[in-house]
Amino acid sequence: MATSIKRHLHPDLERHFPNLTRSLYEVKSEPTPLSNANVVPPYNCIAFAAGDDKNWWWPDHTGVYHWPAGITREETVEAFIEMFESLGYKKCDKEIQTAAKYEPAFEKVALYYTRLGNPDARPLSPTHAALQSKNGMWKSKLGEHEDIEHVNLECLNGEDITGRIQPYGEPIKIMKRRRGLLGLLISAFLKVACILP
Amino acid sequence: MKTAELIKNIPTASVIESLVPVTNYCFLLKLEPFTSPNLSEWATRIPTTYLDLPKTVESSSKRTPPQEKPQLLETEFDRLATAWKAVARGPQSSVSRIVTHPAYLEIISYGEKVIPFILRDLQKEPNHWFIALKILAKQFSPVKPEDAGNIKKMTEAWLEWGRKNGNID
Repeated sequence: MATSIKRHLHPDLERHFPNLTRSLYEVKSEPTPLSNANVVPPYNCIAFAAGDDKNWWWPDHTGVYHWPAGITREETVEAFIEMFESLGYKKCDKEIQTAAKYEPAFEKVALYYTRLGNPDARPLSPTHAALQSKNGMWKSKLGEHEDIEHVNLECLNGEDITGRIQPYGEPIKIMKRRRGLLGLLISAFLKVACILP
Repeated sequence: MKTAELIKNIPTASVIESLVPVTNYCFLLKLEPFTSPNLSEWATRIPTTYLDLPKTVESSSKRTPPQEKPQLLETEFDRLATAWKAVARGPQSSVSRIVTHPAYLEIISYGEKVIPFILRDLQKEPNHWFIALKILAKQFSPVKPEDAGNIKKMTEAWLEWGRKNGNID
């Protein structure tokens, strides 16, 4: 019987996430470093959650990076929610843990923010977005690095307490949209595949 | 380095906002004091990466301005670019974090003279130089709006612009 070996992040990258123990995640893609942009397009977590693997999304004031036309260009939770709403997502009003629960009929994204601020971002600004897989796990693209599949949202949490870690803060909002028929069928298949021996 | 000075030197995202109308690049180094209501808390939260940063700012304020000597400017650019790249390769998606690094701002503070160095660096490998270039080119960007965020196409557009303007071969 073949055994699969879980891939993990380089320790230099892993140390950014104090709650990310190796049992909680697995690397799912190759990194997309900017230095290799001529071969593989770099994209970030926001692009990944929005379904784009060709562009770097960010609402910078200079207008240099990709941000959907007509959406407020500012680094606020409200602007990011507006962006995901433009993609058909709707806000879940339940508290995070309840809202994050897997629902086969829905695609979900989780928006992270930093409450206190850290060297990456000022207080209350968005830091990261994760996308829920069809198997109920969460997927996150880590900047220009790999994307990982993680069992819960909390494993990427962490405020900048020691000064050495520059994490994503915590989830602030879950948004969801109804899956298409194909997505539903895949979800159902994965569910059955998990049940059967 | 005193805590107050460290805090003073931490850039905020509002720096980005002030980049847009910039006409005098040097003011970028006069960063706003950090406006967190919990400054004492912040003082204990300054990361190691930023502890290195006042040295950069301090050393730059003491050094002889290299404007008259292109070789010195290139050396300075290399030093700052190396410092910036070391921090910019983290897991962050936020461009603000990447372009408010003091070394990045210090590069911008040298004005148009650093454009050839940036473009040569971009020739070696793509990186987040686009905001610096746009500021240094006085808000001009050769990148088509539909290519915003496409690192390869943005790089190609700036290199093409650099060739047309004689900044690079």
